[in-house]
Amino acid sequence: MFAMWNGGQNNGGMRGPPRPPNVNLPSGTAHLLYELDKVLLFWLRDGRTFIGVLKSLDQFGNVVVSGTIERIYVGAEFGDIERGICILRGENLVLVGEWDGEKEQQSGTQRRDIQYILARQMEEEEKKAKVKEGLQKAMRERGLNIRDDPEDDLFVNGGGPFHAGILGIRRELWDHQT
Amino acid sequence: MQQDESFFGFETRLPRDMEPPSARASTETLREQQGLLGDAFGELRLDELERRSGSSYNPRSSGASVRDPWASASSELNSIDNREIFSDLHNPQPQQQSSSSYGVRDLGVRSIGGLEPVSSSSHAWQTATSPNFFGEKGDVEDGIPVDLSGLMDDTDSFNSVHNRQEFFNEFTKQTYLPYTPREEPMSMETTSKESSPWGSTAGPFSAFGGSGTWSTAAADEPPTRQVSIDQKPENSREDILSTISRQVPSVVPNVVRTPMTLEELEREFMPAPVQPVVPSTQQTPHHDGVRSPFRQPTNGPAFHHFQSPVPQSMSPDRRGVPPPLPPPSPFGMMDPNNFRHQSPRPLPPGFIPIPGRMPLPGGMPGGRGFPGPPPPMRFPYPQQPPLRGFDPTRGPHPGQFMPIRAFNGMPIRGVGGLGGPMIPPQMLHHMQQQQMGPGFRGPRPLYGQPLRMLPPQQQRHMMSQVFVNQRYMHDNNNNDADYDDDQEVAGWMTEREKDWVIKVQQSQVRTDNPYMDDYYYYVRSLKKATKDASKGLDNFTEQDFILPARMASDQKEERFPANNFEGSLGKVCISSVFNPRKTVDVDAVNIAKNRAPPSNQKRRWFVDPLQKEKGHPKALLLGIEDLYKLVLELQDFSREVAALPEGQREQGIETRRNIINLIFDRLIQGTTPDVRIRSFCDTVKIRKGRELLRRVLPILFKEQLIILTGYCVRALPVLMDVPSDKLEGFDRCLVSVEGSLRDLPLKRLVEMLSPLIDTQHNLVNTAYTGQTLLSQAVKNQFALHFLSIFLARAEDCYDAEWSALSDAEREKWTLLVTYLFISLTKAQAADVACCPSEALREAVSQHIARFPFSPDAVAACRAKLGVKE
Repeated sequence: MFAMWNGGQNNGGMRGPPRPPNVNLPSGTAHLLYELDKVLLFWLRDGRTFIGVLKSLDQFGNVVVSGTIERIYVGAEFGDIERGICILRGENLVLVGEWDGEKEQQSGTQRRDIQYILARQMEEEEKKAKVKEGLQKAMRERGLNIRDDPEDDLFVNGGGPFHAGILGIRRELWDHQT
Repeated sequence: MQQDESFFGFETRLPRDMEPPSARASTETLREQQGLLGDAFGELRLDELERRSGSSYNPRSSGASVRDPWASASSELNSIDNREIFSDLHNPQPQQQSSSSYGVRDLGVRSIGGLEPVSSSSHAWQTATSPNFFGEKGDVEDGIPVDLSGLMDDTDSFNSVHNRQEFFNEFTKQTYLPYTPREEPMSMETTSKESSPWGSTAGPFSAFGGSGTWSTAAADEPPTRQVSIDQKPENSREDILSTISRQVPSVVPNVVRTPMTLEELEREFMPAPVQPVVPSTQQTPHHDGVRSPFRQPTNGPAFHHFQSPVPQSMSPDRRGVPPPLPPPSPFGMMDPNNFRHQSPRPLPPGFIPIPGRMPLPGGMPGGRGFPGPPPPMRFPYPQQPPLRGFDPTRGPHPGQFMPIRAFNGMPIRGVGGLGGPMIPPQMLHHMQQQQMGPGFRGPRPLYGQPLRMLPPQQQRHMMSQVFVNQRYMHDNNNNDADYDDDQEVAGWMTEREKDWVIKVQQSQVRTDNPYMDDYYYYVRSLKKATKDASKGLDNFTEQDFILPARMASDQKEERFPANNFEGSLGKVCISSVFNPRKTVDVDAVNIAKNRAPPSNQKRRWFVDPLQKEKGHPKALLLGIEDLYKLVLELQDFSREVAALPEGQREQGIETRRNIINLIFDRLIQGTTPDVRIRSFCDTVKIRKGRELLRRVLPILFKEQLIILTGYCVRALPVLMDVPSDKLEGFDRCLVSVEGSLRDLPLKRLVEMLSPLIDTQHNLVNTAYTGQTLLSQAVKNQFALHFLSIFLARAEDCYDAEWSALSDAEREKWTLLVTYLFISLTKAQAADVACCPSEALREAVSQHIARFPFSPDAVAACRAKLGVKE
């Protein structure tokens, strides 16, 4: 019962060989339990990316991740925000996968200061919003109306929470408050 | 700190309720002093307030000296001095509220800014302290007088320890884990009680079920309480508390389910003294979260990362679909902004963060039910002295506090933690330093050391002991132990918890009726099994029934060229499974001109029996279609029954029998035998009818099968007329015919075959008479095969039963064999069809040899039949 602890060796994170999964599941079944104490990447439905060590989970797919960072990619650059221990609600997870830091290094992406990344991200989103706005305008002129409903619960494509609509709404609130 | 703020430069962009309370308090005080608020926002805000708060808003009751601005002209609004309205609360510093005449509730209520609570103060709290999710709260908050900083400081900061503590207190009412006070005297004590916002607002803990889970507890909460810090240590209180702690055995879970919390007890024993809040000079938040293996080493302050305007500045934009929650600090870490600006309050005695087993998150999708209760809470790290403590110079460490189980039994470590009421390491550190002095070493599990197996009761006992008896911590001052803070504790989930998760998930996929719940998998596995089992003609299984042989054998796909004509608008209609070609003109048959279908007939079309009797092809086709429906239904039903557990199959079998009987009755419909035979022959004439027969024969009961075999004998002339390439595997039905004849007496055989000889029974409109029929039959493979089956059976039972036959029967049979012999003799050797089965050929030739023919002729027949010598 205490086999996970009794091992003595610490397989958490990326250290050491992967622990043989001590999970009683039907063969050929994939399960998140096999990924316990591994560094995983979590892609959330709003497009955010978290990387952390999977610590615990329940039957809904809610996960507890420790040592979490939120990684923001802008082009080939990225920046991290430390998030510590967090719970990710299962329904928000789009994709979970093992994450290899070395491959990240080899992939040519570059770590930048988070401040810089955030600024860049903002720029990108504004740019996207402008493009979208232009597109919508053009479509409207042709009698077509793209309904951009930011409030629906559809899966937002990666990096896409910055809907023009959201951006607009939030901007207003933002300016209002500050 | 200065450096930190300038480093990010986002500080000023924080939303109001994200701001550290003390910072906001100072800014708001400043603004109000400058008269900005009253001038700029006065009218608008008040109107808005009135509109929003509705009936619950009653400014008269808020304070003694309140003028009623709403009764007077709106122009007066701007002139209302907030100080006037809330004159009694005007002191920004809570320690100056020395006037003890204010009840706790009064303070709490007034701090809302004139909003009168409806039943308890929860409504007001909802307005005042709910996070700014939707942008409304900011407006309200701007409208209220803002010089309540001393109060808002405690209540409004979302992540403040007090609220967490509050939340936790509420929560511990429902759980069995006790919390007992520490018996060490504390230099200062703070009990801060305000009505909890957790009960009424879906805060960042809404992930745990939010209001639905704890609102009842919050509603029951006793009246609020003001900060009371006693400057002089109150000995009597300590005695009381220790008495309480002795009275309540900390280990026994049941005892703690008293409706009274420690706070209430405390409130009974103590008059509420008022004490100033200690300024925050001691504690610098040093948040060091759980070290991740990939974390970048940081040289700066450890909370540098968490100096995060980032989540807040990001949140309005980044959070897309769900309303933006506050940054995940309540779970993962405390918001450092709060801690930096907030005076760190030492926790009141007995407030040990032990979140017990939390209820399941209310908002989460429910499964079908759990296989059982979740594994009981268990302390993940059994007690093992000596424990290594923390280095006071290094600040608190993730492993410092004992790991805590919360949220359905998941272990949580002391840092930040799950479920809200966790005390961050800053506070822990603070608390411990205050209690034990700098040399204190807290317990910490030894990583990598094998843990003892302990029975669960003992574990639980230990858990509560370790958690509750803080003396345990004192006993273990082991300085030489140095721990590696890079180590990560693996295995937060125990095997039992894993098994539980698996069990829960598997219980959701368990089904009693796989045919309904898991149709595709079930049918696929069924097909696979039958396919593996049946290789060849002999073992005819259900697979054969599911997939017609024609479909299985036809490998080549028919491809129709999709014709696109130049300049045409449409495409040529190509039939497909979704758009089948119309082969039957149903309408033509649907209504017989002068015959309406019976009113009780709910079928879409109605087959006129008269038309069918006349051999109307469309009526025949429709009848066949109907039968096909029945066959498919039966096929479905059989699989459904097979999928049921053993006990429930009985009634299914009954229904199946009924369907089979219905099919049989429909197959030979008619009032007289002649009509029946005729309609059967008509059915067999059509390819679809033959196919139907082939599929139906294996599933019929034996007696029905024999009867149908008799009909087949009658229909043999018709079947012989069918070209062999259009039989399309119809001869496979002979397998079941052979099975039906297996133990049939010879007498029955004679009866069944007599129509072939008796020309007057030849109702079928063919040119054959008895002899000509057989002369053609030997040249037709199907017919020869069919007859061979009969002859082989006769050969089997000839010795036993021939003598029992009557003379007429013997004559008939002899005539039949003679006809057959003559036909074989007359036929050319090349013309004689070849019966596929060696045993059948042998049996037929042997049977012919029993009759008094010349041996040479018999030998010739044997050769023609293809019997090897």
